[in-house]
Amino acid sequence: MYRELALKSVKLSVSGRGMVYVCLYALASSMYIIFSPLSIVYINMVVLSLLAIVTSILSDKKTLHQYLSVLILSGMRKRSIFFCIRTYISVRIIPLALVYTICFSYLNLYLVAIVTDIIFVLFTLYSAYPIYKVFK
Amino acid sequence: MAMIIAVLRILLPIILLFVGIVIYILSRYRGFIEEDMISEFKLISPASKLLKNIVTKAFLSTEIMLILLTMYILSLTVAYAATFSYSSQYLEFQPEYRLLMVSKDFVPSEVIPKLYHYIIVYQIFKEFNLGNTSYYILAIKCSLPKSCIGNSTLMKEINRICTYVSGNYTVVDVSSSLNEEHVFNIFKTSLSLVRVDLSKLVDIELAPGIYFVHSIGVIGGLSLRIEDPSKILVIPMLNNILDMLHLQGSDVQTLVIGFDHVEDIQANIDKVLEVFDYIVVNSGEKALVISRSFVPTSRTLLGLTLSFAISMIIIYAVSGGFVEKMLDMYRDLYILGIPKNFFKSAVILGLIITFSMASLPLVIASCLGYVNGIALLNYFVSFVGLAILTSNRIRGIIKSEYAETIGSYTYIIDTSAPLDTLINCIKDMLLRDDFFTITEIEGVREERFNVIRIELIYKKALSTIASVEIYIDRVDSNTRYNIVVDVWSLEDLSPLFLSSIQRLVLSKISGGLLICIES
Repeated sequence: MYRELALKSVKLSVSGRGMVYVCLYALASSMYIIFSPLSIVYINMVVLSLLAIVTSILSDKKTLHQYLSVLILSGMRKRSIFFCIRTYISVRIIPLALVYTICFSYLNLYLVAIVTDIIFVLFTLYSAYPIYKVFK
Repeated sequence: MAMIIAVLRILLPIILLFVGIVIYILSRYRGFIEEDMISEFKLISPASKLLKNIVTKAFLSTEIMLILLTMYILSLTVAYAATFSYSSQYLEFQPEYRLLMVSKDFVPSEVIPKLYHYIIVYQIFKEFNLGNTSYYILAIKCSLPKSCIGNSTLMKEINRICTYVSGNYTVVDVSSSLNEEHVFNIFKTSLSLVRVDLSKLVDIELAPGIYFVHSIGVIGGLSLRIEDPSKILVIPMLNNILDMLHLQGSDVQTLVIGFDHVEDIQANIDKVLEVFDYIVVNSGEKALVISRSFVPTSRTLLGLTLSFAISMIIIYAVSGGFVEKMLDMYRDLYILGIPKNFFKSAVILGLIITFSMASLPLVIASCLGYVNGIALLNYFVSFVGLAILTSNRIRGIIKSEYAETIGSYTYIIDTSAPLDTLINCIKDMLLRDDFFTITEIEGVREERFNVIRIELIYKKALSTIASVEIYIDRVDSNTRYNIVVDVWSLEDLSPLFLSSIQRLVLSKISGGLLICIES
């Protein structure tokens, strides 16, 4: 069942309009990081990337709301719904994490790359509950 | 950059005043003219109430908060990452010196960077009157070795003057009427006087627009300098004379022509440009002019472009939600008769007020010097992008969703028919209609005009009624028919649907009326 749910969530996340915005943002911000290699730029771009994910979710608000409503109406458990939301967000985070890791590795900032990836993982884990509460 | 900050310093009180007035108006006037039996009359403008609602909604919406957060983060990032350089330009001429430093103020010789071979020239613009003639003083200090002397007219002339000045002579033109007594009267110091031909000195141009003698530049090919050599008085730079002239703070232009140690000065360009306005450096075949004004580097401009791109991506992604919220408001207001252009303007004005108020911390920080002007530029450019995007989105959605309402139609013709005939004709026509059932029709004869009132029920809906009024009056020898249609419904029908019914009724009545008149 989890495989089916994961596939559905991935499909929904990839096909949404927000995915295009996330990819565009990842491209622009990575260029910024490479052209302005300053510590404040790294921090701000990572903060902005989290905002970009929230933005992408807001731009696909209707689809996500319908998806969650269907899951709730079909009697899905909270844990499963959280799993779906986390899969949905993690797919959105993948392009960002990938581009940032490459960028920071290119600048020999391996520690910054690891910290950024940890922030992304924590965001994926902890943003599921507020999203569930808002869209419920 | 300095200009932007100066403009902002002027604009800030105005913006603050503007925002203050808007806040006062919004808090003072809260609605329309309402008559309340218990309380007092309240004066209200519907426009300001609408504006207030838009501003409140914008401030409370998640989308605008996200956009503001993004714009703030990006503005601060751009401001922090911005780098500036002195503006420089290559000029197509080959100077005979290695360095020329120009200041529009008096620069004491102690402040001037160390040079071994140099000429310091103070062009004193304060005129000294002796008799009917006014004289302009040129104070010169030279440290020229023989190796510096070239064969050019410029160097020969400068060297000739330097030789006299180094021997503490005062130099005047051969045509000048000055004598040693006059010089003593001016400087209270006895100086020997030499009369030489200064006409060549007057024409010496060190760089385009910069002359050896008193000059304020070139305007439209016309050099603004002293062209009469008899008005020039060249004096040696003696401390007691300079003290007597009180040069500090007076109108003096300082020129320093250097012949060595250019590399040291180029390495400490920041310190040199703190004192001098611009410097001209001999770089082989061309001359490089470095000015004190800052220009953003290409990296800063690239950062600004990328930050605009990032903010536009986020704005494009979220502004849809904000536009939807605004359209919800518009759908309610549309029924009350608010035109779409008015609403669009109100949304843009509301956004301008919201973002102006939100920009206050950034403006204050910029004025206090915590962030540079690039932050404000980024904020402003992003806001313009948001305003254009929102405006286009609202216009596009309204255009596709709502049609223009046509509520009335007027025509003037030269034939007329009696009122009763018209009523019967229209009644017969509408009784056979597929869409409407006629419930009421009556004719009213007034003093100046006649009115036909018709009530129609739309057959395809439950309770949608169209009220038609046809006003008939005389205009000269012709008859004017003015048809007004009003559709209303108890059902929750969309404005587009009501508008289409209205147009259907209007077309039926106007066409039918013409047939009735002609028959």
